[in-house]
Amino acid sequence: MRLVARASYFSDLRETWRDLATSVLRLPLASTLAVQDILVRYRGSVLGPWWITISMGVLILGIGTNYAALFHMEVKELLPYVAIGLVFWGFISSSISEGGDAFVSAGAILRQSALPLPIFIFRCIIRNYINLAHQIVIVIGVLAWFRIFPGIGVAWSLLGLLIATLNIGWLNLALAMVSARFRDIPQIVTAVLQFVFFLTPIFWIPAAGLQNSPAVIMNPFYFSIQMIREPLLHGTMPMEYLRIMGLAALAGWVATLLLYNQSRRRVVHYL
Amino acid sequence: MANISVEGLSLYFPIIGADTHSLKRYLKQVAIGGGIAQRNFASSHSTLVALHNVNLSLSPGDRLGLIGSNGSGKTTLLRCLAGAYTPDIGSVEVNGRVASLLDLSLGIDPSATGLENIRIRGLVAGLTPAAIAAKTEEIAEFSGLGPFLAMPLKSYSSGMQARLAFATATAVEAEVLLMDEWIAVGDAQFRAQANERLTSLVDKAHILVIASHDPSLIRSLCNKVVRMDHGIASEVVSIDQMDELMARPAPGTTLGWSKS
Repeated sequence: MRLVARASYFSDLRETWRDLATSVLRLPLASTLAVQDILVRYRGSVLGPWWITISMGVLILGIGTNYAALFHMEVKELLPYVAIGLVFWGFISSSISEGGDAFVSAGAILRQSALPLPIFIFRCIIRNYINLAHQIVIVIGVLAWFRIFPGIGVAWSLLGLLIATLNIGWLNLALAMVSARFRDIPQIVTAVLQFVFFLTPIFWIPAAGLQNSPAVIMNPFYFSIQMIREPLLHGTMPMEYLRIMGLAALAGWVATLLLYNQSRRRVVHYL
Repeated sequence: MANISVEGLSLYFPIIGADTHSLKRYLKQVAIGGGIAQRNFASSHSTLVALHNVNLSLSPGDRLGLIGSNGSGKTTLLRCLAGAYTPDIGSVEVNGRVASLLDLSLGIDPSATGLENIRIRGLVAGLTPAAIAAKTEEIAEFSGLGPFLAMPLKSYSSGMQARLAFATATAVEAEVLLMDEWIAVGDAQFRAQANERLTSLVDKAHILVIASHDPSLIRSLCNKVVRMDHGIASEVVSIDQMDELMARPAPGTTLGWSKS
């Protein structure tokens, strides 16, 4: 191991790259820490993470049936839409809101070892994937119940999930760095996500008059949900959303890595 | 072959008070701060010179004791050697597998069991799951915790936690062992065992760097010693000259706080 003072902004790029590569090599560590997080959170509980599945299932059932009655819609039309929307919104929003805490909560490890920072972003995302795996049974159950068989749509949907995850990745890395310095950020993120939840067509279908509202045409959260939901419901991928979010992932990672290159040395001092 | 080479190392800490961690405070400074200089947030907090021009060269068999008053930079230097802090000036080169016993709580989760903690610490230290499985028995035996290993850590006394941490950290077959204060919480029997294990580690031509306030401990473990004062390191001297080193007046310094 050889660590040197920073000669110039660009001299650090190699180390930024090495941090990323090492983090990928240390994925087993990230996943062990993620599993441990889940084990600790639910220690002593019989059902463990299945409790989120149950409360999510109840919420979906409630919204799916009541809103269908309120808005004079078929349950068959609304419930699968709501189920996929809420399950994946839960994944996206909890991944993002936990991202801000990723470095702060790993302070004890970061202050005495040479582990690269992105490992702790991977840990956060893997942890949320484990939770998602518990909730995906709701989606499977609902699709089966209403005899919806997406076929090739499953592959499209997984591609949508992958693109969404890539976006969550850079966003989390940026949030984790900024949150280490400014401790208000996680609270702000939580509040913003709450607002986004009601703004975004997650558990309601945008009416004809709303098709051009910013909440639909300029909302990356809606794009992400639709990239995952549309293929499952109708077997087709909204290609425009896929393109936009793919570009967002690329631009986001470039910008975030430039920020990372600038701040990676400082983060540990803020913890 | 393990070796440590520190050249011209300086390290600065940004000092951010609990309240300047707040975004509101930062934004307020930007909004109503007088003058352009305030807009540069690098200038809105003080900098602490934690280490100043530290030079160090250690080769196999060296057992270095770091002495110095509180806040003199001993732990910071250890953290630099562990790779947690990157230099602001100069360089740090450490070859060989490093085990750092700087903070006993590393990776330790109070509601996880002893065995789980061994696994986490092993992974953090860079072992593969297979290697950890192979070593678990040895760690369990050395720690002497027996059936307690299956229990959550919160049921342990602090001495038992220290046993587990020490057993795990030294099982990594470290070539460079970094310690911040001796783990004094173990009982006499464990201390004797730990001493033996540490001696055998160091005897395998490895390197030990330990920071301590206890001169007799340094004398019993180390063959070289460095004194830290306000982030400035003295030259490395042989352990025989420790009394002379400790008797020296602190170097007069204007270092410490600066407004960057």
